[in-house]
Amino acid sequence: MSRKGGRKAPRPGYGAALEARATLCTGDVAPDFTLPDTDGGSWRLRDQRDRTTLLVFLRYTG
Amino acid sequence: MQQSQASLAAADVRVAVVGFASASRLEAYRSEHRIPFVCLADPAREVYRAYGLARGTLGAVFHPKTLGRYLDLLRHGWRPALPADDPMQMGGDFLVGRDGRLLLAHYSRHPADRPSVATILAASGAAGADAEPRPPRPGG
Repeated sequence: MSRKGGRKAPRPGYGAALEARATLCTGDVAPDFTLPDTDGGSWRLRDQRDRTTLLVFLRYTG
Repeated sequence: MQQSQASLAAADVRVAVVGFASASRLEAYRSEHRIPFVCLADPAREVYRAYGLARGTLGAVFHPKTLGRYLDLLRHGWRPALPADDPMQMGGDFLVGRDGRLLLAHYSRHPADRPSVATILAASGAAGADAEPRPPRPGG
């Protein structure tokens, strides 16, 4: 009988605190996305190529 | 981050803040904290997943550095409320160059773990050198 999950998932490079899942590294293509902004507009990453863009992902907001 | 706005703007870095609260709750958060950047709502956390941002463990969320920060806030009059969102969701910071590639990928190990502005600017500066077309040689 084979053991379930016999192949170990790779450990994330930033420690065991996070679930093992695909992480991005410097040099990777940033996943494109479109999200609504809080002013009611729409914001797409691909449209921001004129400048370097810093994406800050928040934790919970209360 | 607000204090860093001038430095980032001077380096031609645009900042977009992504949260997983609803747009209305995120707007309230933006107003309360006077966030001067565009705020994007990702309540389904699809973009969080696309960037590999996971939920943390109790040890990560209640890291000693985080508890120390909460103690400071309590000393300054902050009173915690029950979280309406998922307090286990971890954050991160990603610097995207003009070519669409990541110049920096930072996964927070605990809530207080964020890259310094100097780190961001250094990554941005390196990118700027790569992303900008080379100026023509004099006379060339």
